[in-house]
Amino acid sequence: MTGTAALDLTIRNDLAEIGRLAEEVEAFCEAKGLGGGIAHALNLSLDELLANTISYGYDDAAIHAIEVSLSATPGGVTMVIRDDARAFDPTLAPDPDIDAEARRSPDRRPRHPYRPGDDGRDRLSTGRRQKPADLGEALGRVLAHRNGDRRGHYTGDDRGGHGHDPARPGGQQLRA
Amino acid sequence: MTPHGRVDSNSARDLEEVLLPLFDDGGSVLVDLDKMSYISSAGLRVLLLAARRSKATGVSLALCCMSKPVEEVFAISGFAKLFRIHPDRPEALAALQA
Repeated sequence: MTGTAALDLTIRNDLAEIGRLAEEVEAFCEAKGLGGGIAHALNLSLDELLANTISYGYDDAAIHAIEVSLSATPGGVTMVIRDDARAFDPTLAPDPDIDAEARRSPDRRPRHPYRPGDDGRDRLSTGRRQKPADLGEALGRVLAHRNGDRRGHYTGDDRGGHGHDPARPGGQQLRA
Repeated sequence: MTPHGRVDSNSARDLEEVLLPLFDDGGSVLVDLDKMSYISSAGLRVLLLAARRSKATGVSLALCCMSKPVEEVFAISGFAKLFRIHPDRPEALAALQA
């Protein structure tokens, strides 16, 4: 291994930050000798999670900081996103009605037909059956599995963020 | 058209502004993805809108020349079934003109 063990970045709640972050993630993976597939999985996951947070998580138009950290571990990469946006737990959200959405609102983001595999891999590590919040989250999850060590998992621990309760930092983790 | 680089949650808007008006001009639309290195769900949404516009206007739509990462995202999402996807440009053009 070369370079630092971790990448720590703070970005603004602006979608334009996602491209800058992607460059940093690619450089980090290259320095760690991690393959392009892992960089792709991490960037897709970051893109989808951050886009949801930035687009739907804030009730005001103010600038907010979002902390992103990546650390290389013997088993892969652990990614933590920490923000002070409104909490959202995808495991508690109702299953989307895919057909109804398509009928009613053709311009909404597409919902995803993806469902957990029977082998139990594609589930939240909380033990609940996975309920993909949307296409993007499902994509990130599957790519993380494919590029991971099969123990890869996603932990949605979104309890409102460090800005609200320092004792219980919110964040989202994904291991690829 | 040939989109270049990353189509992420930020740049998907640029693709939408350029791609969707193409269906107002008649003819057919080929999106050559050879130079597109990355696509997220926001980019897939734009292509889905293009497919709907294609259906509504009768202007044919085809995709070609996907890079590996883009192909993987299409496969995982099930979007590969929603489009006419060709391995190279000559085959795509021939299919559009058929």
